[in-house]
Amino acid sequence: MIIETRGVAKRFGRFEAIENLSLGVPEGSVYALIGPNGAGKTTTIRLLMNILQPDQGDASVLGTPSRELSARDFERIGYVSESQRLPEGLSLAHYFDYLRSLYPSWDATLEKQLREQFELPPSRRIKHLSHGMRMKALLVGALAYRPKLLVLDEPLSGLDTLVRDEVVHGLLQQAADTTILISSHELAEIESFTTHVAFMQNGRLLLQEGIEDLQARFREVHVTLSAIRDLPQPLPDGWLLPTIEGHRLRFFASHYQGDSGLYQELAGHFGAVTMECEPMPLRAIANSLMQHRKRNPGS
Amino acid sequence: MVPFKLKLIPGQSIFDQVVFAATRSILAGELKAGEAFPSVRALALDLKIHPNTAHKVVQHLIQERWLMAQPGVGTVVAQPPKARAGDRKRLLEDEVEKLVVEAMRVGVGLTEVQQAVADTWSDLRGLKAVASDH
Repeated sequence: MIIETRGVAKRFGRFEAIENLSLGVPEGSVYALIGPNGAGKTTTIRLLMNILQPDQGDASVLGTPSRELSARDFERIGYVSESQRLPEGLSLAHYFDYLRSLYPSWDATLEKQLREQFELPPSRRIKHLSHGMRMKALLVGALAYRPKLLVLDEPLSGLDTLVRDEVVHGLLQQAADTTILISSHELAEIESFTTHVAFMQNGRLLLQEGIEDLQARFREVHVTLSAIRDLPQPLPDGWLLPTIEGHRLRFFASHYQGDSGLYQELAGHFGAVTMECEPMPLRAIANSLMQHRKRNPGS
Repeated sequence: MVPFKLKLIPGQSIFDQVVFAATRSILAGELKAGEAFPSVRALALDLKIHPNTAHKVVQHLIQERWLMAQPGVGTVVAQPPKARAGDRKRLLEDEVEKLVVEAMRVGVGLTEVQQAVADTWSDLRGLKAVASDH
């Protein structure tokens, strides 16, 4: 594992920001940390980057305990976040001169290529950059030394679609040689290249899983019943957010294993039915899980 | 640009979708034997998919003999591979049964299904005829 945490907890005063968090980010993955605002994504990333220290539990990054991460380790870790401080008075050219001197593994050819690709104006001072340009400059600064691990905190938020595409393109160019941890709201943008997802809510991990497995077991199910019935009680395993109106039943199946199994399950509860199952985009999976958790806090 | 038509549907296996799109366009003759197939990198960037997924697709297509790896050149399209023993039976019995069951479920009649099959058939043939004119 490139990143591993066991039972990590963090409080701010009385507020429990992170509880009992155990994550594992495999080498070579694009690991997406997903959750609503306030779920604890940024806190998690700051704990991993040794900007904050856990109150309980252990975290290791590239094999080093997070509390011991030093400048040396950050030569192999690229970190980009919206709230990063930059030397605002420097021109971009000077900024990259400065970064180049910091990293032994800096690849000047890659730097040049990315700067051209992102159309970053060398003489512009950092304080005069647009939000999009700022994020692109940060990304060049994190990619050009070819880190073993890239950690990106909301790299796409606030960017227009054109810049998002550019940033994604820049990431994918490096994705074969690195591990990427990315927190994001923009699920549709990252779905196609994510390999693993972790959902967080209220400081807890709801799940972490390979995206193909996750997509294989989730279905949006529409059923037409032959007779009006109530929902079975207790609810069958893995049915999320069921609603029944007249002859129509809708729910999200979270343990789907093929149409025939589900059909038999439905027939067992309702007799003859017709059903339609559709695969769900990541955004729909995340929404259904999080709403389910909101309505059933204990489960 | 990736030389085949593909709009990824979220929620379904990306690997399966890309493999299907590539084989479809080889069978339709849009991609002809001997033509270069996009590199893993180009495939990943154009389709916005993870390079490892793109790599898996190319390896799978090579293994199934849709593509050939040519040292120094890259990957090129091969002659469409011969069917394996059992492929015919699987198509004519299992896949057709699935289609018929689905048609009955949805309430589509036999003639409609036959017409749709014929149309799709001639669409792909048509593409092939157009492609071989060039």
